[in-house]
Amino acid sequence: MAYFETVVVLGIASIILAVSLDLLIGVAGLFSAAVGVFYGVGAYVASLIWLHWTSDLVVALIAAFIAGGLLAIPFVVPALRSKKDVTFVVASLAFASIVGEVFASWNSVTGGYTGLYGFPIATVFNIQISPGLPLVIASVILVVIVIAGKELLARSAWGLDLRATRDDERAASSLGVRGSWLRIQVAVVASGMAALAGVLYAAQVGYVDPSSFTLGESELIAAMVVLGGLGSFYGPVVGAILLTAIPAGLTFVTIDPAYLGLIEQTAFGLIIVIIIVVRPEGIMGGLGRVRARLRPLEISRRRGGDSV
Amino acid sequence: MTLFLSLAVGGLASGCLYALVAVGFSLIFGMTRIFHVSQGGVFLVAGYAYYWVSIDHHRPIVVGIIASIIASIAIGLLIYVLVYRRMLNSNREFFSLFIGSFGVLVVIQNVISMMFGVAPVPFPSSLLDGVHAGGVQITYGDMVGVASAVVLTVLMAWFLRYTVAGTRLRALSDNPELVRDYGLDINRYRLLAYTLGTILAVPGAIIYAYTQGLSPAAGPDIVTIAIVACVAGGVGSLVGSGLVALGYGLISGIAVYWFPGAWSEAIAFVAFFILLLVRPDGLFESAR
Repeated sequence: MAYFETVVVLGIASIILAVSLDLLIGVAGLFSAAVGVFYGVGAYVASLIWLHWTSDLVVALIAAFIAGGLLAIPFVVPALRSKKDVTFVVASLAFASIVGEVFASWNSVTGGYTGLYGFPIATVFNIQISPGLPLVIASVILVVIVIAGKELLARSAWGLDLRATRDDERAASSLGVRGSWLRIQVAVVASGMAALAGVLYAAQVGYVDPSSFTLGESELIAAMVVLGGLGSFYGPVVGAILLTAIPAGLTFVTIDPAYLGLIEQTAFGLIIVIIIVVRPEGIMGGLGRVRARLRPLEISRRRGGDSV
Repeated sequence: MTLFLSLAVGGLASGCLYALVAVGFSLIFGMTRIFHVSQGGVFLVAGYAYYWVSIDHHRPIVVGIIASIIASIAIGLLIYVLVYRRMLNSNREFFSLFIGSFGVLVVIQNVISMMFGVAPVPFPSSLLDGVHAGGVQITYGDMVGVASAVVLTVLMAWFLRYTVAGTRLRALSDNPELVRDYGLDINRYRLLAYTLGTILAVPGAIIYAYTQGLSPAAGPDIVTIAIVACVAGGVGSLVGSGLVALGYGLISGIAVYWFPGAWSEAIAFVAFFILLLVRPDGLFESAR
């Protein structure tokens, strides 16, 4: 049953990542391709803490959240200097490349391509949270906290300000909403959340290397959010569960393992394309605000549609 | 010093290849509003079509180039018809086009990985030889890359400036509504710009394959450079994106002089972030 529990914990990590990306895209209107990188930051930070300092799970979670959030600052501050959607996307891609190279090449800290391994089993109050049922329970608690936190944020005055900025920045700023500042805040929070998922990854897999936190991972998370439906409560959760369950089921089908990853990725790519072309609101979508997001207003079309 | 110059020459030469792809990307994005990330997939198809015909099946180079052009136009049109046309007709947002295009890139990259493997395919090292001018090494690959970039840039500039179709394309970039009001078929000109941008991926792909090796991972790598160049150059500015792509090649080339080779791309991207701080909307920010 170890395989089942691995799938559950990594699936929960995916839910956290999808929820974090949905906070960025669905609520704030910022598309980031760097989520996978913050996932990695959390995993590395947790591994380093467990290797060199303490095996405490809570300490690792807090540290990962802070590290992910802080690391978002050098990315979002320059990226948000421009008001164009496209600049943010491109900056996130460039940032993902930079951090990916740091993971792979900063040998003395990250272990380079070999990665980090051999860290102790995580503990909470000296109780061992070993991979298996204890970690599943811890993950469930964490994911509930993350989803609740995201919903509270999204429905708070702060979240409303963000949505207002997303839909019409000029009108929002005329009402005293400081859009740029809010966007920096939401990017920091979302990146910290993504880093939490990395801690679960490290605790479950017991081994961290650069190959797990690539652009492909970011693309998978984007597929989850798009599939489920942007900006909806259940959307990212449903998308994450589906895209974890389908490949997990696939491993029982006999496919040459050398091709399995490639077939999976191809399927994810096709899912994204088909959903976005045919049903952009996703499985759980259909909410008016999402449609407003994906189909431009008259004004933005006249300006060439590069910004809303 | 000669090492530094050699690195600079090599960097500029790869910058020329990046510039070709970046200008193609900018042409498409500026004139059709399609954020054509799957240009990286077209790049792969162009490179692998050439490999399959000229290296794997030993046909003459010219046949390989023609096959590569046909293959890239075919895949480009297929993407346009299946994915973009419908989205453009329903006036979808930038996000949708980006996500759709991203999905296409992933599909192409993985299908090619299944067909040819994840590892780089073998190319002859003939273009890696070269001449030494005062200790500075210049490879034949560098020369071919720079030459084709110069020729194609001049051709493209002439076409856009002095032909009727080119003028209309520039008008399309500035004000699509006005072009439509003049009674011109916008979709036809969009398709023209799209096809031109697609063809620009071909020479870059073939020379890149000879000089740096061709693997499926090159697709996302190259297109990341191209879109960074497009944004950092100023959206809609072909000159800007070409120059930034050149600068990217130069910086990542000479970075090797001071830093370990593995860091060169990261350093070039850090330079991009610094540029964003100074000029948020790109080097040649349009006045609009």
